[in-house]
Amino acid sequence: MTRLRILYNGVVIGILCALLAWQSTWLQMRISLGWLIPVVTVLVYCCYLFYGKHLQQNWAIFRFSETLIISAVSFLLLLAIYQWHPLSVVLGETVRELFNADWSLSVTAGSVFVLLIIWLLVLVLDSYRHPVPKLNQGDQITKLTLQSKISLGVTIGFIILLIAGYYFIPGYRHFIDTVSVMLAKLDIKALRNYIAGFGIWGPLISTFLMVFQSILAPLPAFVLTFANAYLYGWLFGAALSWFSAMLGALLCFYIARGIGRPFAEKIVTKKALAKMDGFFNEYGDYTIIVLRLLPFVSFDEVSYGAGFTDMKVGKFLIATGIGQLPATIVYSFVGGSLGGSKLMLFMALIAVILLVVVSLFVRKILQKRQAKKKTGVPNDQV
Amino acid sequence: MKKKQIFISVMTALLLVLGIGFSLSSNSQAATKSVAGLTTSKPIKYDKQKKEITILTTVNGTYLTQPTRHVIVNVDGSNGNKSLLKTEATPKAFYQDLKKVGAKAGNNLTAKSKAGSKIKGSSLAVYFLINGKRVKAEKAVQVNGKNVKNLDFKFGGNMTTNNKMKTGCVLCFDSCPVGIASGAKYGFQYGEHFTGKSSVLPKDGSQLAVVIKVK
Repeated sequence: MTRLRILYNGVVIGILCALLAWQSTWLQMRISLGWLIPVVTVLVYCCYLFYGKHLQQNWAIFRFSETLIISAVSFLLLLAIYQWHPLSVVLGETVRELFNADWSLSVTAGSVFVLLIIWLLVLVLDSYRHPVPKLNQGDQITKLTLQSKISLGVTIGFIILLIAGYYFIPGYRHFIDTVSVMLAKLDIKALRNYIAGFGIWGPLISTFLMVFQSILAPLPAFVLTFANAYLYGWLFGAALSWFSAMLGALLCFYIARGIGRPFAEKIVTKKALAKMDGFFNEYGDYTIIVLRLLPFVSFDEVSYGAGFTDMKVGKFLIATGIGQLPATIVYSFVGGSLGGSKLMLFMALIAVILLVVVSLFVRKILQKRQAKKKTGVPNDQV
Repeated sequence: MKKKQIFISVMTALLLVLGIGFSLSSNSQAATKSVAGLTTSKPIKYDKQKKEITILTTVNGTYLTQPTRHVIVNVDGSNGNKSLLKTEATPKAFYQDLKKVGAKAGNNLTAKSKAGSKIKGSSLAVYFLINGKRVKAEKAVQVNGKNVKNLDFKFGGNMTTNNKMKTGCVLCFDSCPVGIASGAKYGFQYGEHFTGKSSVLPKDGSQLAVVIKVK
């Protein structure tokens, strides 16, 4: 079944490459892009055959959770570039051109989608029946091993693809430019209209935007949280923002973990990382919760920072989920009230102030508790 | 053994889905009929008196959403899947029929011509036969998302280059040293900026007769 999962990943990555290549009309007019699918599939499989035997466990990227992330990110990326109808047309043409057939575009694209969904369902069942054991030392790699070299290679490849795509794929560049300007200008209305323009796919696009802004740390996330609440009401908006922010945080965490400690030590020095470790050690498991509560601390920098420490993914997710909940609810409440009455706006403003005060208060308490732990001195004497 | 069985059943199920999908698709595409007196076995005809050539084509729905520079290409050519309309008619047959109805080839472009050079030759009007009515080709396409008034099609000739390149190019939107006929409005190497209008043209896989009239 591992082979089936690897082949699935190969096919999905191959489809992604082929459909991204469609953005270059020069390339599209000269070769049959469908051939990229089997070529990439064979390459991925060869990588598995070569590396798979050298690793302690299965290559992490081919576990089911990573498979699901690859599928979701590929689908969202392609949907953002093409939108639904052109996406199905281009997918259909890519496959039928590969077979030099006259099949209907919609039936071809539909069959491919059905096939991939069935395939994914089989992988879901398999992941429940035969879970892949976790890496023994995967979370605490301090020396450059084959595992960490591969992770570094994959991560750098992913980042290069993201950057190169900007220069070579006009649709992708347009999307990045449009969204960046809206987020940087804090233009909530423009962002709302942009997301609404995607119709029923709006929530998916919003999720993709949140993940995108997570990678680019300087862009603010709260604009998107406002826009979600403005569009879908505060409750569904908050749920959507919370879920997508979790995905974004997880991606940042994995980028940092992919770059890995040995390589990060060379770039940002051992001392800087030790300082960060000290900070995480000082606040313990509460670090992420406290940092998430504070509205003025960059959400994404915390995720990247956590990725460089030896924190477990599960703990990181739980802390992120709890920590970002109050801010998400308050911002959604503000966003939901933007089109409403003055009383609602006033209430939202009070909620923001309360959030800041409460978060500062919580930080203070935790600091005291930590100091007490260290020195054994009672609270009132600190 | 158990894993092997699961693997085989999954692959069988996947092949079954593909098979059903594609056979349904093939059936709908296979239903060919005579359009304007043309069939896939006899895809081109000419009328010397009216100075007209009619070609049977099939709509490629891809280029109702994506840009191309090719209007009609022979299915066996290397560009067979890159055009708005596919045809069984060969560039050679189209060239010979244009000669028979009295058109004169320009033969002024080569692959080394300067970018922006325009094709010469007898002027042609191109019509699509949609629901029994002639619709000017210009009404059925957009250039960079905008309507275009006159593509100014000319009989470029280019038979020698066409034979050599084996692209199958019959009719191109912009000035071309390979296509038998092409539009002089846009110069050589203008590129892939032409998209068919889904509101005017029939859907993907439909047969469509194209009339080319020597002016």
